[in-house]
Amino acid sequence: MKGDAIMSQSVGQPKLSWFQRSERWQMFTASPLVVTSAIWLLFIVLVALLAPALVAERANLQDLMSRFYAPFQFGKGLEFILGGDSLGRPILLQLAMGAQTSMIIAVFAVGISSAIGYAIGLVAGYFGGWVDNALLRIADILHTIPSILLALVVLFILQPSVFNVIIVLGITRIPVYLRTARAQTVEIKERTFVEVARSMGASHWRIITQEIAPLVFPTIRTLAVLEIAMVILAASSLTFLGIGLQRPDVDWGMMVADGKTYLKSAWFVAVFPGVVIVLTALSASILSNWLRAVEDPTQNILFARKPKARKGASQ
Amino acid sequence: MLAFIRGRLLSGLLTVFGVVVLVFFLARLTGSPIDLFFPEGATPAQLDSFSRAYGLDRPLIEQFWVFLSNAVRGDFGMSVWQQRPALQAALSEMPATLLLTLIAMTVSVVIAVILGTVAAAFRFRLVDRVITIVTLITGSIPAFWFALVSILIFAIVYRLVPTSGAGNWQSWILPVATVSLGPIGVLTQVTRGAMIEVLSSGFVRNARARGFGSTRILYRHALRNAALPIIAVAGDIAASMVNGAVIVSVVFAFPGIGKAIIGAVLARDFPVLQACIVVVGVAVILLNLIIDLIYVVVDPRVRLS
Amino acid sequence: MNISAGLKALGLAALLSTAMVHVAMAEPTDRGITVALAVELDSLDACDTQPAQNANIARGNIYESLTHVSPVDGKLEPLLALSWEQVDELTWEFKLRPDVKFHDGSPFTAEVAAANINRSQPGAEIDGQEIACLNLTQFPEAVKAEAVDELTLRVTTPKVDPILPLRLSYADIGNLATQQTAQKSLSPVGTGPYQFVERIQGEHVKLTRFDGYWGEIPAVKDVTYVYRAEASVRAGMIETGEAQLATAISAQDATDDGRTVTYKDNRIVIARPNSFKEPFKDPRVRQAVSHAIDRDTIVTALMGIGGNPWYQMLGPQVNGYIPGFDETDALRFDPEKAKELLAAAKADGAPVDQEFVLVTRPDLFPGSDEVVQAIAQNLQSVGLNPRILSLENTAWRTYLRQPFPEEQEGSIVMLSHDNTSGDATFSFSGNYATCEGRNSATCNPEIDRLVFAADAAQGEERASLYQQAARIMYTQESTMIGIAEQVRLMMLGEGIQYEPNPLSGIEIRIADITFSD
Repeated sequence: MKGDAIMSQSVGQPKLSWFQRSERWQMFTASPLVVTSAIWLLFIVLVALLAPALVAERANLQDLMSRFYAPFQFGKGLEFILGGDSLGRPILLQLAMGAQTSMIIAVFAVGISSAIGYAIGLVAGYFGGWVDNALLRIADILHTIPSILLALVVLFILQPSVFNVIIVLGITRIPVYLRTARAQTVEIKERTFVEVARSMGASHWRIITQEIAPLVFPTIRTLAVLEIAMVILAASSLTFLGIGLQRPDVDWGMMVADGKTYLKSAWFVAVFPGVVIVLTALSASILSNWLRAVEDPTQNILFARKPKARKGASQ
Repeated sequence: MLAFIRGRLLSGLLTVFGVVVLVFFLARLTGSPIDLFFPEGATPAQLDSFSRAYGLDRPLIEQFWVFLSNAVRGDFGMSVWQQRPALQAALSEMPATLLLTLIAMTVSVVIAVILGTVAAAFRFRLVDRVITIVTLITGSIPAFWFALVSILIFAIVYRLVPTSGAGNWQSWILPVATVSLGPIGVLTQVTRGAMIEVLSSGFVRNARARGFGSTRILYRHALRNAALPIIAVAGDIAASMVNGAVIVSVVFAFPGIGKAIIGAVLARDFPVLQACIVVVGVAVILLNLIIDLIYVVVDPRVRLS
Repeated sequence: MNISAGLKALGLAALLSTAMVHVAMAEPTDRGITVALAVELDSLDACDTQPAQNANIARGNIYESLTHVSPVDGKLEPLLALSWEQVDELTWEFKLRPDVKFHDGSPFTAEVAAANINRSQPGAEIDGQEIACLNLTQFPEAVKAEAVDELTLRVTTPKVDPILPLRLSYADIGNLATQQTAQKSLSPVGTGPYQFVERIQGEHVKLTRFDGYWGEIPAVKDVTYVYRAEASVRAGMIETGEAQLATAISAQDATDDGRTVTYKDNRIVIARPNSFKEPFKDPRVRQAVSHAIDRDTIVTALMGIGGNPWYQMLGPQVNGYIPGFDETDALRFDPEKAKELLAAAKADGAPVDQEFVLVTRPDLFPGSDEVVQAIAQNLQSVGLNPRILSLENTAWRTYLRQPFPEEQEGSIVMLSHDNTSGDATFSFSGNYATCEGRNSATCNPEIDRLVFAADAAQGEERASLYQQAARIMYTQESTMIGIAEQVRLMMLGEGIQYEPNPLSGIEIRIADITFSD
């Protein structure tokens, strides 16, 4: 965390943004939007952790008498406040169960892709030459294969499950990190201190892990936070297309898919999970935008595609 | 310049080759097309007859060799289900995809540049906040959900547009809106960020000091300099749109290569799948090349490396 | 039960009025209609009309066959053949309809008919190239057709086949030119009331009325077929006037203004436990499955007007259907009985609480995912241990078909079976009932004996033998567990008159459509 403090201090453009005039916490509390987003995400994470233990049974209990029970009524207790789905399960509790799946997928898919992309990016950027070329080409190939094909293949061979959705999303998002990590590594390895380390006889492994990796890490971390929103949306698209999960597992995309046929007669079945997806993705985006701004206002990772070109343009 | 283009094309083709090899084997891991369209009661002899006719009974390596040697000559084989050459099946989907991409990108870039510039000009004031929040929201709406809800509201309840298809110009409204939703959010943020960066950089302050009007500065100098990151991101988005737009085709029954790919995967129409991948791959390479060239046009200081 | 009784009456009424529409003269008009289908067709070749998505457009509109199953009474009726007779055990002769022209003006003769039949056979070759038609599944062993004279066709079968004329109702007839090539036809030419105009893949197929049709000239002039995968979108297109006829409508989109019409195509939702794998090796466990499923509640609540509770694997129009079975020995919903059976099986060492997979497909029938989840809950509540496995078609078939791999876990496969032919042989022999059957998960020598005897028999005797086999399969064996009879829904636009019939799932004769305004 020390590195962060240094970084935010080292930024010397006073007029660039309002949050730099104050300490971190003040920055945080000063924006009601950021606070709300953080609270919402925290709430979802809590629900995700607790829901399976507390409500799994009731969430999955079908009761055809409660089929399409209308929302905002108290007749069946608080759990039916958002209504009942097509099998008479309480939508509120289904959303809670879905929170767990969605969070697990988001966290692990981002974790896997960022870790692999980070590692490969460092290696590719550091060694350059044919290693770099080959790895970049593989990244391009991964990037070009339709993820829907990859999903169908993986799920055909391995059967649908949360774990396999994580694998599919994890693989397809690797190139994002790989390219970013590589671009930064290429730049950093030319710096003097790397040269010094090299001339002092440090091994490649040592230079990569001790000298370069720590400097690339913050970018990857910010990117990963940004990607959480992306992955939540991507995962829900897959499950919406009916690829990936298997009842009784449920996530929000699957709930929208289940409700889509009843949109006209029971709008709430598809609308509530959609709203939850929007709120969660939005909170994650707001937080990541904020984090990015706090950590390094000059760096905008959306430009990662052409770092050199950008430099030439803005100076 | 020519060497650069040749290099990019070569490395692009290498990628496409890799993708096709991978797709060839990946797709065949998901079973054979013969299982799909025969009724459950079909006898093994009947299935064999079909698989012989399409060369699916031969060893995988042999099938691959046959595919490669024909593909080099531009022959991707016959579609298993469509009774026409696979390449033709893939190419016939491209006009709709390219047109949708073109329209959606134009719409998103125009809206995003306006919103982003306004936000940057009024940075940290209310307008900026509102624009930022609204675009963050549009970027957080799942496309499939937006598509479903918009069909219900605009097509079925209010009957302003058709529910689906690509018949007349009205039927393009919802698909364009659906695919533009995310890009508008991202591009507005990029524009805003780039404009702020440019506006706070030295030369704009110099220009201001020399007495140029602020509107002129914004449009003449700043926007031109902010164009590079916008083009970079827009290019990436356009490339993924050419490749994807699956949701739009599923929900709106909208034609396009995304639909052809998912259809070919589900129907195990391997020749069409392979042809689609090649067509998309080539389109993406060309698109990226065009973007690189636009870079040079917009800002001659950019070196082609 | 009132609802389903009412629906049965409604179905009957539909059948009766279909007959009347046939009689009523249709006034030819200049109007066109748009038909919204769920799935795009694959092929318009005359020998590929087996899959419903092809048949929906081609059969009865572009193409006609020699014989035809009557949608009214399920009996075989003449179409392009006027009469037929069995000359000896292996030989049949058909007298063909004279003065029939193809859309291209060429005449319909015995030579064309023979070419069509031969081209649809398994292993058929033209110029050394194998053709592989989808219709070959109707012919377990290749038959041989030849022209005797201009209008007399002779067909020989490799072994006794009492239902050859019925099989030929699946052989659609295209013109000679398309039959002399191994290439599938892209611009189909048939003898039907509508001729092909254009097909834009991924978008539409257009047909227009054929003025040289040998029969009655229909009311509708132009037809455009479009494909929309979402049932709610198809229903929406009727509401907005974008389409005048939409198929495969979901029960929840049904309207009660008379524009949603229903029909039954003898399609039954079935649960098939695999008796070769635990926990279903003990027949009592399989019987418990049938007793555990609350069909009345599930089907009524989840399928609505889209289904009726059912206990057999065949619909009432098939000769293997057992009349009165529901009231006599069907294994009806009785959770206590199920628990008793499981307890008894467990006492004898059956691993009744071993986990098994409940295998289904998302596209099995509208709302099938929900029905399967409800069934899973039923099974759980009597002490069984199902895990739902919803697979894509190809993977689903690995659980459906023999041989079952050694490592495959125990399963109940959910399937939706239709038999539009009216004869149980298409469902039983070599398919779901016999030991060697492609999709059979059981082996009972008694069933085999009865089915094979039935295959060689005719009429009442044939039906009775099939029914005896079926009864063993549903009760003692309990390997084919009926869940629901599907009721299919269509939606019609304003001013469109169409009475669907049991064949409407595979052929939607545009000629049956009239305008009421």
